[in-house]
Amino acid sequence: MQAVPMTALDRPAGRVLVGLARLGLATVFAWAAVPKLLDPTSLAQSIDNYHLLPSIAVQVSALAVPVFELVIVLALVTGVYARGAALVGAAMLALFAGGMTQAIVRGINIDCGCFGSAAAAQITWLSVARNVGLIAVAAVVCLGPERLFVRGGTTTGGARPDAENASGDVATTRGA
Amino acid sequence: MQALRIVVVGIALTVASVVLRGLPPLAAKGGAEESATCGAPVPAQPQVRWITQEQAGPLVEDTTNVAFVDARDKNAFESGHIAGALHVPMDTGTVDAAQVAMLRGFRTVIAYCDTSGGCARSSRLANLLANAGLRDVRVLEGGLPAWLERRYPAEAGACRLCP
Repeated sequence: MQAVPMTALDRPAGRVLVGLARLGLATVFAWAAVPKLLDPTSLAQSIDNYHLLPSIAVQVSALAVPVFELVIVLALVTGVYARGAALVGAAMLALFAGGMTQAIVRGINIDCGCFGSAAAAQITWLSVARNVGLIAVAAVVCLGPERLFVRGGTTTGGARPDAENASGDVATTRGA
Repeated sequence: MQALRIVVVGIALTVASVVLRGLPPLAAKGGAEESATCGAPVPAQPQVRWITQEQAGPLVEDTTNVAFVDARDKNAFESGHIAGALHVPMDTGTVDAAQVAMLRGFRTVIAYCDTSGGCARSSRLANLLANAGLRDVRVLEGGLPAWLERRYPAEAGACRLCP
């Protein structure tokens, strides 16, 4: 008996969508991470301008943010813990959107620091909307299958075993 | 569980990054403060007075008669400052003739900074301007942080009117 896809994202078209979502998300995070890694001082100043965190938290965040972004990129590209990475990425994007929203509401018109010193970008509601859009893309990855390449209902290789029924067919399981 | 593993890896690499690279500096609050306050002493001028946020807030609209002057460094200024503020950084602890000339046309000049060191930079700037002959020079109580908390007008970018 063939394995039955659980959702639309398990179907071939859905897997393509999930693959594109992973690639797109990885590209955005990589583009954001590299300039931040190269210039943590500018990032620290950008974070400090939000007037939300004490100095030591600002300085640690300036190192942590690009590191986490790179980890997410690697996970999305290799497919290892991709859904968990998308979940963490979505949480980061939500956090940044919250920070930008409070800056806009407080009337602070400052560089958002989103892409390090590579591209100074004033905070606008478009910046917030962009993050919300990326969260939606991350949600597609979270809800999609762990493995994108399926052959005849049987998953190919990989570290995480799928549950097998008595006939040797495979039923995919989920867990981020 | 996957997300937790991603977080653990991220934390581990962040710790390694902190150990290897050290923490990045923030816009030299201590450094600029020291250069501003360790310069030649500036006698306190009697005409330099404090101005409260509530008094200064409405004055931001009077761009003809009132000038807000930012005493912080260039990066801090361009990252965010009081709307319409001019920039006279206290990195060197001095002001030059062009900067004074820029401010002579205003009835009131209000200096501000980020309040580190008890508003040392803005106080020094105010006294230097008063020394140079400006009659009504104030120091903004609470500086930029208090201004932003009250959601008074702020903006970013380079100084448009500075020499």
